Amino acid sequence: MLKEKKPKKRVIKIKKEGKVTERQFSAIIINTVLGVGILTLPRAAVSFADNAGIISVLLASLLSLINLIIIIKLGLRFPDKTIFEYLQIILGKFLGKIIGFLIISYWFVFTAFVIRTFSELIVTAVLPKTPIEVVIIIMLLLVAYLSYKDIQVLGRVNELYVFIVIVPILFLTILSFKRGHMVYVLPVFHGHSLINILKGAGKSYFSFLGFEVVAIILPFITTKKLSIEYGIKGWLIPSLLSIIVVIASISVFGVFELKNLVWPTFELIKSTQFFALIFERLEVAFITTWVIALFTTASNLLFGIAMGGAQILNLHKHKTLVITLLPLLYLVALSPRNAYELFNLVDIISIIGLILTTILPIILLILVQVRGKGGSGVNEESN
Amino acid sequence: MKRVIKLIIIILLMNILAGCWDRRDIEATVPVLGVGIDFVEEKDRNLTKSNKVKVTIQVPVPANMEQGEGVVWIISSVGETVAGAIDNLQNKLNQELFFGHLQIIVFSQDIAKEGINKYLNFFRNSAQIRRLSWLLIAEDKAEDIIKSEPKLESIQSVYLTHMLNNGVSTGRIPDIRLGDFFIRLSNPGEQATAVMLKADKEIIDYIGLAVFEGDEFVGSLDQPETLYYQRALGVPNDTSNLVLACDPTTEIDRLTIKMQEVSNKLQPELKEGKITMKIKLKVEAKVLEQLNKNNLGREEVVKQIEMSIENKLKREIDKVIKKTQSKFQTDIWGFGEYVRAYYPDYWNKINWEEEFPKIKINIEVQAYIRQVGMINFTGK
Repeated sequence: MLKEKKPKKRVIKIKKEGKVTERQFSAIIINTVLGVGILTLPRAAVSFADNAGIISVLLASLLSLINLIIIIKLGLRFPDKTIFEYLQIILGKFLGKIIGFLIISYWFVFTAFVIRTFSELIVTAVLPKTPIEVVIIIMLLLVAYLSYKDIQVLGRVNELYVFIVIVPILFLTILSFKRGHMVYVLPVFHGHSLINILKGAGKSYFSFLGFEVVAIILPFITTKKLSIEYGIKGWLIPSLLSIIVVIASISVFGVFELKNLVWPTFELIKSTQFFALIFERLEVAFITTWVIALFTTASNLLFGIAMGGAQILNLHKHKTLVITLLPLLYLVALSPRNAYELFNLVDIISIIGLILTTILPIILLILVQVRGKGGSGVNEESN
Repeated sequence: MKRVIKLIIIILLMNILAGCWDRRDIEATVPVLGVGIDFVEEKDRNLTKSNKVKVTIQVPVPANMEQGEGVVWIISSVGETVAGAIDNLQNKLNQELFFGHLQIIVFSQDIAKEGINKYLNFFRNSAQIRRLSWLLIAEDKAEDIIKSEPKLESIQSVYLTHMLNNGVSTGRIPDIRLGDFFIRLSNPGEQATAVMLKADKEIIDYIGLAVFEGDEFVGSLDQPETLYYQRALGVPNDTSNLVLACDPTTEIDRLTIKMQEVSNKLQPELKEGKITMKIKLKVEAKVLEQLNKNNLGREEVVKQIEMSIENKLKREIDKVIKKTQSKFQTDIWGFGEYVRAYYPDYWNKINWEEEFPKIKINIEVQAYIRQVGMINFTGK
């Protein structure tokens, strides 16, 4: 009896501190991608290519899959290092630190704008009299609270919340199909120029951003062999959800009305009725659950920022940076004057994100291949 | 010491996190149930110069709920714009107006004729307004509809929404809400419509469908025409019936038919630069009554009835379509959306508003008699 107990204990011990399981790994991807992008995605999708917006979204999601796989492949060359560490190995200390700083600045502005966008929605739709500063501060405190914790806690929280985020929006979107007209969705393949479709894809790509957080989570995953498989799983759910939301929005509103709506997904849920009079104002329930989606997105990114910053500055713990960065994050979040300026800035950020997540990993992978630095992948793993 | 600090933090947080900014007790709001928007009448306009719009609202009076009398309170105010008039209303009220429970928005025909969009903007821009509220057009004054007091329900707006919802579920009234109106305004391939009402002191009457060109009211379909409009768009009908006239060439006497199941298929066809709209309807009907003759047991009679249903539907739907093509010249059917969907290249070349009156309509109706009722017809 006693002999049998010992190996059991060992099994638990293998998952030592500071590790995430594979499921938590995909949960982190899902929760980081599902943030504020999907709230405006239907409008972004149809803004250039009208009905071919569905193709734009498909292209954007496929591109994000390719980039995700490249980032994971790259990360597997350096199984126990984050992107900020292997940047310094590949590019040398100085250049590596500069590029690392660039990534961090991009994540930083991204996080700030994500928080601002959602606060904007809350202030226009639910709490009209609350100053937006208060909403942002409360959100930031909450986000910092989670980012302050260890990676293990981050993984568990993400795993716990993933269904609370996915189920309501999926349910409500499917309900909204009831008021949809399939004729609004057509013609998907006709009469749209390729350039417009690509432009739409570029704009839609914003709502798929966030997957690049794997670059910093990857060294903590327990079984590295499974990272690609679970990465794809983490990509699949937000992509499917996005496409369903886009199709539902187009079928309910039509392309031309969609362009008039500031918050298309929110309006979609607003015009959904469920059991007639019992559940009339579903949008409030939706916003409440979507706070969680936003909270996890921002926390994961802030964790990445703090972690990367600590590694660039050679700090021992990421916790120091979380607190110091908060006031700056608040200021950046407040900097756009109104929602329109915010959306313009978000477009710029998403282009930067597109460049960073598409070009940088490929260049790095080629450099690694040419210079032969790093291990040759999974085989190197010594666990 | 640590405990004290923690306690202080908790107390401080309690103040922030309760969300007091937007705390609104239900007693401290005036929920608006219905809004009516009219022009200020000419003779009154001299008094208030620039004021143009008269907004009438209906609010419930909770204190009178139990007595069942004076349950709603009607107040109105004028202003330059809708928002301005509502702002002026606020001057007369003790609490803040709340539009989250708004059920009906009524416009008078005159306002609708001038173009409804500028008066709708307030409702479109506000986050409180739901897209599922009803947008209605009053034949005369919007005020009259808000003011009328039907008997069955103490709150008139509730009565009206029930009436409209039941009308929708039985296929009597087209399901065109505020949100659908906005969508139809935006879409190039279809024109907006709205339910039209008429009211006197006690009775609110559904009289048909208001037809818009852009955001301007151009005319209306009456109630029977709306019924055929609904059938052509494939909405089944639970209550109102089709009466077939007596036909001397066949053995059919006057019949009343109910169309239980209707399904439609719209298919545009492009030939030599011209659009033909094909409408295929499948109707499942039930005989409600037949005067005089008991010959439903014979198959040929049933065939004849089916034939005459088909002819009648074809004729009537064609009439309504012709009316929208020639009289209003607006595509309230949404045919343009089908053309856009199936012939995008052609769509980009044409101006649908000019093209719609010229298109050909091809209606095919297939009718089946499924149920004949409880009487056993002997087949004589």
